[in-house]
Amino acid sequence: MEGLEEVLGTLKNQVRLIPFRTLTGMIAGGLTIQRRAQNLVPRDLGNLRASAFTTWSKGAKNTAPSFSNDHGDASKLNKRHTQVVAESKASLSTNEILHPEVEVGFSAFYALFVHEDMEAKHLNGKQAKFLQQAVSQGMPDVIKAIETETIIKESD
Amino acid sequence: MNPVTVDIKDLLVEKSIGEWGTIKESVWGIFIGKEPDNPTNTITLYDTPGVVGKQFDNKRHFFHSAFQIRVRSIDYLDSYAKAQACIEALDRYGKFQVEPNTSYDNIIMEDEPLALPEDSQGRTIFVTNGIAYRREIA
Repeated sequence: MEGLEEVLGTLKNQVRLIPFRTLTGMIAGGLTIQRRAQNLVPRDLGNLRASAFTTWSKGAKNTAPSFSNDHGDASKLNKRHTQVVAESKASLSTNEILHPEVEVGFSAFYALFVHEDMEAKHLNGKQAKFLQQAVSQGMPDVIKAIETETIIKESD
Repeated sequence: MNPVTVDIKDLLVEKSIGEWGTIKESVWGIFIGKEPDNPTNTITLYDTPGVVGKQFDNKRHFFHSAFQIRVRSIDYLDSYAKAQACIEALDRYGKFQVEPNTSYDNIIMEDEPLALPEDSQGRTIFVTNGIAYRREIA
């Protein structure tokens, strides 16, 4: 049949690219979770919010955030951010095809305490469990991001 | 379907981990959603963000219902021991049902007790988190 070979060739190429695009979709999904969590983070100087990151084994987003030094913590936060992001990347699978992995987190040294303290008072719209809530509510967005990247595109 | 904390509270009471809503200083009081100033020794449960799982029989869903247990006491080791006792009482609890319409497949405690900063009265606080796998039944 005329054109069939061309179509099959394109399809084969598309299928071959799906595993690579899964990671791309997961990174997009991770960034969605990161943004959602940043919107829920209790704010004082904004340093906790700024310490958010999304990593995969060969890359990261938000590698050099700008921290406020009002409490004299900027240097400590910067050093820790670099270390946490590096450790996160090293902990993730390097096999981006069979085991694509993405991690979203907050590097500030007090992030865990803010996240886990359900009795702390926060302004409206801000809360403990900010990352857990972002994951809970954002899973459909993550799935959609992966689907969008892995869909077979006619234009490719 | 109850908030998961209500059912978890019943399990802790049944296992004699504490007494529901008591203000007696001689025992551990169990509370939901708000840690009271008294008694000193408290176990407070919070519903935390969970996930609605996949659908079964075309209308009902599985739920991954998350909760936190927060233990407070003057003594650091007492707080830790009580948090650990809660974990041991609940982790891998197995199947059970709660009237009128909830079936639990299991409870998994996810982490070791985490020490939070002391409260304004110098009392120690430990938290630990869990997930209950449950579904509505007819």
